[in-house]
Amino acid sequence: MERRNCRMRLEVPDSALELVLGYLDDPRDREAVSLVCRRWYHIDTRSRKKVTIAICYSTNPDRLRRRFPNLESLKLKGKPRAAMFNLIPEEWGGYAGPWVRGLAESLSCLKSVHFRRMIIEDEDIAVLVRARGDKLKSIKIDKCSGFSTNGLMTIARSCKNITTLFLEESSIADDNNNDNRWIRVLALNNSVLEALNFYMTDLRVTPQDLELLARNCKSLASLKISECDISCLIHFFQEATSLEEFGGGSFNDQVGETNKYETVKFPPKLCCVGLIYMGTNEMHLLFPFAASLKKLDLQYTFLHTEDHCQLIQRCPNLEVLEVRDVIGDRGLEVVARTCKKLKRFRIERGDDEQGLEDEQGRVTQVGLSMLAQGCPELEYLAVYVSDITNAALEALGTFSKNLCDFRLVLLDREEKITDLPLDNGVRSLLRGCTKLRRFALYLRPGGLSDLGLAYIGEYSSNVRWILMGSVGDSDVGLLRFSRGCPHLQKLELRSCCFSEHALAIAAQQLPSLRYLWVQGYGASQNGASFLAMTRRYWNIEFIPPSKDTASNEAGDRRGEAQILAYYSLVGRRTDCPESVIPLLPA
Amino acid sequence: MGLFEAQSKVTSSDRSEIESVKTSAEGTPNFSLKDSAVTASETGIRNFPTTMAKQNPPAASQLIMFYGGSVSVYDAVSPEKAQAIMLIAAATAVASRASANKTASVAAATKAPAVVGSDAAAKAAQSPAAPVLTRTLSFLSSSASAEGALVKQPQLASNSSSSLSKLQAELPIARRHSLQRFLEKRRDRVVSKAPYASSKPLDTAEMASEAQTQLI
Repeated sequence: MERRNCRMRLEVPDSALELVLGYLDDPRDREAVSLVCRRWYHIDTRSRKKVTIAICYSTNPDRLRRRFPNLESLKLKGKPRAAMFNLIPEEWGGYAGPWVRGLAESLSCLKSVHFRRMIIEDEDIAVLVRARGDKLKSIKIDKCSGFSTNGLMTIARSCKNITTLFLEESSIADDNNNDNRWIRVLALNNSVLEALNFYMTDLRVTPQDLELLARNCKSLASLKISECDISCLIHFFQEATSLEEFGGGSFNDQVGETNKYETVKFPPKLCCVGLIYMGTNEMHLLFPFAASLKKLDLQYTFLHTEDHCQLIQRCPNLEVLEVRDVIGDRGLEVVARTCKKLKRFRIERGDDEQGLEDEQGRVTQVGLSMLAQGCPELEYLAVYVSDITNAALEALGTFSKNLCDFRLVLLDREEKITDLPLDNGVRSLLRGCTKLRRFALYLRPGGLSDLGLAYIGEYSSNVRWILMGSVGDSDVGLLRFSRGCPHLQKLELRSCCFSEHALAIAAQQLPSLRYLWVQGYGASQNGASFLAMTRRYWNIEFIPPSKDTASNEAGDRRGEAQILAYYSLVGRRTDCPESVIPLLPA
Repeated sequence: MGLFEAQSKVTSSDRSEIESVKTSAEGTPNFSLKDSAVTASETGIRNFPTTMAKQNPPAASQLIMFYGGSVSVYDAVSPEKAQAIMLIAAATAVASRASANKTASVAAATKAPAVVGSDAAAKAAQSPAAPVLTRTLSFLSSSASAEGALVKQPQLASNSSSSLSKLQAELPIARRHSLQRFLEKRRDRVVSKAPYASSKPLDTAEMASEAQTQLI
């Protein structure tokens, strides 16, 4: 009686609740909201704007449409991440067709689509454009294949309102009939384009079309193109006054042609740059505005270690830096000294062949330790090292408190590594970097013991994605690892010694696991041990070893067997090619 | 070690295959199955002499196995687990048949570290296996209600997986596609024209690499 009087229930109308919940964008918050009660579930259903489907076979268009009818933005991923490393057969799957056909008409609010590592055909693009046309704001066809410049022409003709067209690293067939003037058509039909990206594609570029684009799309802030000589873009740079980001192009200095690039002048607001084949002779072109550079991509340049030092010391405002390990420890010292605002840093792997890379082009614990101390704002660090110590990892744990994403690969250039195993260093890093959500560690036999694996399990409290290569001594390590990692959703393992039994058990033990990819394990003759991880909604696919690997390296075993397992609400997929064998559901 | 020890048992073993399917309770302390294991557990296993099998009609979630002259009955086996067990049985049957035909390749497989690479294994995993597995499953599901349904007698291949799993699979570190293409293009350029117009101490190294690439 008394209790009843004290309980005051505040009736919040749905509209108000919807308004409040509308401020929640983070998918994790949204997920939590939908689990509170039925009413909140329905409000979330009606108001959810953005969804990312990490593997397109986990659900189907119909379910998505019913669950979130008012979706505005959809991101779909197809092939496993390993596809970016040429490890997945091209015909593996990830077809955008069914999604486009199932959603283009029915999702009436859809404005933004992003297909990543999928197969999409010209006809699919046509269906999408026919259904959504003017209403589309952003189209991203990211690392996809299966379409041609015809599809681009379709977009160019009909999507008058797109502000973003992103095609980076896609395989796009050149339809010779078009003569590749889709950019021209785009420029004629669209005046609001802000970002156009066909970086790392083989598309041909006509400089005049880019100039037209610059003239007609005054808001063009970001342009990343395929290879096209920079000297042909001089007029474009003059026209594109709003340009803040430019990537691609190319330098092709012939012997005897010393003044080809002297008149190149970049747009005034340019602060994000990545120029292909840029060499020692051309890098001075960046000096006039180096101090305002925020993003710099040197992965595809011909710069030596000393060049990196010369350039980067002029860039105190750098926030994103991508290089190959030619930068060396010397370059890292300069970065640590100069780039105090650095947030994202990627150090890729250079050429292995002797003489093609600078002799000083090696990154080791020396550079890494300096980097940790010098750049406390680091959130993302991916590095290929030639040598490493526990102390360097401890330094990261001590100083890099903002690290969310850390990836370390130990190259096999040196036979002897200074300090292995890395058990204690890894532990310190994980304990120190409490914000870590993504973690990759690719070592060699002896690089991390079973104890080290247990540490990873114990101390990766927030980590959602882990990639490990060549770690651990035995199944014991894997099983201890899988006792921990409470939030691990996606696990990729390569070149480890674990047996099928252990992998199956580990998959069962990891409480949040929803995706598993493994290549290089103690395989039995028939993959049957994996059936020990049978459970409802868990798809298991087996890719048998491929006989024709496209590599020249002797003893290359990229074609080794793979296992892919993921949660799916819609059962086994029906479009497996011959190279993929679904084991379960039967 | 391992839950489904059936795989590592030799064909000639006289014991029922079922007895060797251990649960987490019987397994080594380190392992534990989060999900409910095949409930071939303390409560479910019954071993009947063959004559008694006809007395009780099988319930919907009952799994009955005939092996080596005795019958075992399991209660409350989920459909997924039942399919899994049948798949294991069928797969090992196919594999052992294939390996009987190609003993040489099997021997090679034991030497190759952790590669499901022998022709036998590849064949077992690919299409020949699939129709066998489907046939087995459909046969079983249609005769689920029949009494005394005869399961194909599985031949347990002596599996060398234990030795394979000890050998570490060392795969070369894969390179990102975009970078791979760049490095290939750069090698082409080194061959085709003079690189790095400025005079650098690297000149000698570049000439050496030019020679190298031309040899390829």
